[in-house]
Amino acid sequence: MKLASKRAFVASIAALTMVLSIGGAQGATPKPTPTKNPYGASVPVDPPRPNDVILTVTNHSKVVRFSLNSLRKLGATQISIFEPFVKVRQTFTVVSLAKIFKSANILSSATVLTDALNDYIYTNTAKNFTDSQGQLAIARFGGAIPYDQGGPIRIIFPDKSTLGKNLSAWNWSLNVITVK
Amino acid sequence: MERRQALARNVLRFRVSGGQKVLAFIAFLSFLALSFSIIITNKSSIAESRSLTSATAPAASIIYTQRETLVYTIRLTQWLDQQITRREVQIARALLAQRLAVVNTDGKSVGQSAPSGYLQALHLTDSIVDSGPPGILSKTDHARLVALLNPEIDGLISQARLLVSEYQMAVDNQLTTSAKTSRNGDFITLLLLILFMTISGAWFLWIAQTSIRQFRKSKSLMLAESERLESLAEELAATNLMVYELESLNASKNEFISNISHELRTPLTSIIGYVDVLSTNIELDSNPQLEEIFQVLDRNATILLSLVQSLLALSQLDSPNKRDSFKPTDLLTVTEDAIFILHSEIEKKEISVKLNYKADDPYIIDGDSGLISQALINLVANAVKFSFAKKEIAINLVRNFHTDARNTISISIEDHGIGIPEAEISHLSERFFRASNAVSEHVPGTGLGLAIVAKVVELHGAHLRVDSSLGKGTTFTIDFPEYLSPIEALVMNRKYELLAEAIVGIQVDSQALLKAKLHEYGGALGFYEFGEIGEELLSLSRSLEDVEKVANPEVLKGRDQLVIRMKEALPIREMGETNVE
Repeated sequence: MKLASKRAFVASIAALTMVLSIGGAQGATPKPTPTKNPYGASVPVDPPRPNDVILTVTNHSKVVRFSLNSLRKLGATQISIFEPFVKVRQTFTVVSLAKIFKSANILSSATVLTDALNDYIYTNTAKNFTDSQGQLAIARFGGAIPYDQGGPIRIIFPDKSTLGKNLSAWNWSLNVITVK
Repeated sequence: MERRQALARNVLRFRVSGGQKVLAFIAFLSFLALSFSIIITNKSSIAESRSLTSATAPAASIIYTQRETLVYTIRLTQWLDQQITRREVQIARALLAQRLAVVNTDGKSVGQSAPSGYLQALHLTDSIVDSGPPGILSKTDHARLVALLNPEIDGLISQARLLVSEYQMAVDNQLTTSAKTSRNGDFITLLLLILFMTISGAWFLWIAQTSIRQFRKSKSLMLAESERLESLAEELAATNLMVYELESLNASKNEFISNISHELRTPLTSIIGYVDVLSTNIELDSNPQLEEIFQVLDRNATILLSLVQSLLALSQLDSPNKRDSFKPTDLLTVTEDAIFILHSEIEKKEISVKLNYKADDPYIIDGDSGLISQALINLVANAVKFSFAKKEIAINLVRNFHTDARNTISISIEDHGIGIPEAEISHLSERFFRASNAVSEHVPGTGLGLAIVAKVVELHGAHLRVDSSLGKGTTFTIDFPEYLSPIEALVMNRKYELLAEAIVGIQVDSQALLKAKLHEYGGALGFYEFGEIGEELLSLSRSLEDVEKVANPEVLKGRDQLVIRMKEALPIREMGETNVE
């Protein structure tokens, strides 16, 4: 086998593995993350089930609710970024915020509030989120993101993006997106 | 004068005394110390700034931790109030754990630096929550857990407040320490700055004071010099006026003597002529007394005429621009003419005059034939006058060749007479001076003849020598510079210019250049009649063939010796000085 053919074969296998791993996760309960928070409770919190509502997007009268499965259906990809809070490089499965905004007909000029489970709120325009290629992370290293590590879903940004430099925009344990 | 010049030198030069130098050095040292202090202070400030940045970095995390703690306690309270499920409490606890795990810019998390009491309080609540049922609390559990959890909730809130206050204290301590360090550094820098400014200021003031003092000195010196120069200028003007007046007087004197001489010469010639006519026509043999009277008349009139003629000649010699009349003059012809003019006196004393010269040699000099003739007539006349009767007078014309100077033509008049006392030889060129033996021997004369000769010799740039032996005779020799055509003069000048040029030119360090220079000047000097030196230079140049860029001490020694000889060949005296020896 020629070198070019060998490379094409390896790439095909890798792509197939990635698709299977994303697709396979759609129906089952996400695997627990391999990392453990040293300051977490002795009894970990169970991750949400695939069809539990974990995100509510409200654009005035339009309300869209997402589970992990429905989020995946919007089109999930993988992204490797430098996580600025624990300061290590991590690989996340993400759905772009642009797709989520689109699903709720949120205009780019709209001001959106991102609200976390602990009531932490960050506000910016939809355009600024999308211009910085804001992503909603739904898994990390192929597994569920634990609650004590920003899970189950959290907003992340690619390296060197404008909003990525502003740590306030990295909303952990996202619960609700509301158009102001 | 020397003191004034020394002072002027000192004034014109910017001088820094020893004390000023020491002070400048101290100022320099304080400047160095100041610079170091500023650098150290700056470095310290940067370090402090980094330290403060590091200390304040966890601020946001601390505040958020406190917030998450409060959120957690609210969730606990809500759980106890049967409003929420245990899972929601656990989620709040998980979010608090996440906040505690955030790594700050200093590389530490809040959890790492949190007081042990805080973490302990957290774990106590964990154990109580874990002991509860999932979902909403039942009434039974509610009573039990309220009793257990309420004190722990209070403890956790208290620990969270302590977490913030301890952090604030740590930052305050850091700020105080930084401020102290910075203040100390700034104080030292300020002290050094004041020291530097004080020393520099003192130095500048000192220098300024010295400069002002020197300026004042120079001003007074210049004023004194100015006054002195004004005084000198006045003196010079007075001297110039005097010189002008003296020149005018001298010119008037010369004119007077010339006029008087002319006026006296005409009647004297007439008197001598009539005395001659009378002495010829009157029968003197019968009257010896009358014959004696005629002889006295003739002799005195002749002396007087000679004196007048000499005075006239001297006055003419004193007039300026006599050299304008110079032209190539044949000294042999002038000499022959002088002998012819004096032939009657020569014959009277039965003296034989022998003129010696080489027929093939030219005896051309640059001069005034009339003046030279006058000088030679005076010398030959003296030789005749002072020679013993029937003796010989030798007149020798010689052309002298000089390799190191211009050629000369010498004429010597050698008599066999009474001679001149040695002590009086140096006075011969003085006007009206007569040798003591001439006076005692009653030899007639005015004392102006040799003065005229000396003047003519001086005017021609010639040299007069006198060699005399008392009772045996005297030899007068004049060395005239040989006439040079304009081209010959040019070649003569070029010849010595080239020699001087070669002396400098061959004193080079480069071996290759030395060879080239020796060859160049050797050929050129050979062409300009320095055959021997030229050949030696060429020979030295050839000897360098084997040296091959290595400085040979022998060659350099030979070169240096040759330079000495070349310097000796240069003319060391100007032609034209007049001296009677």
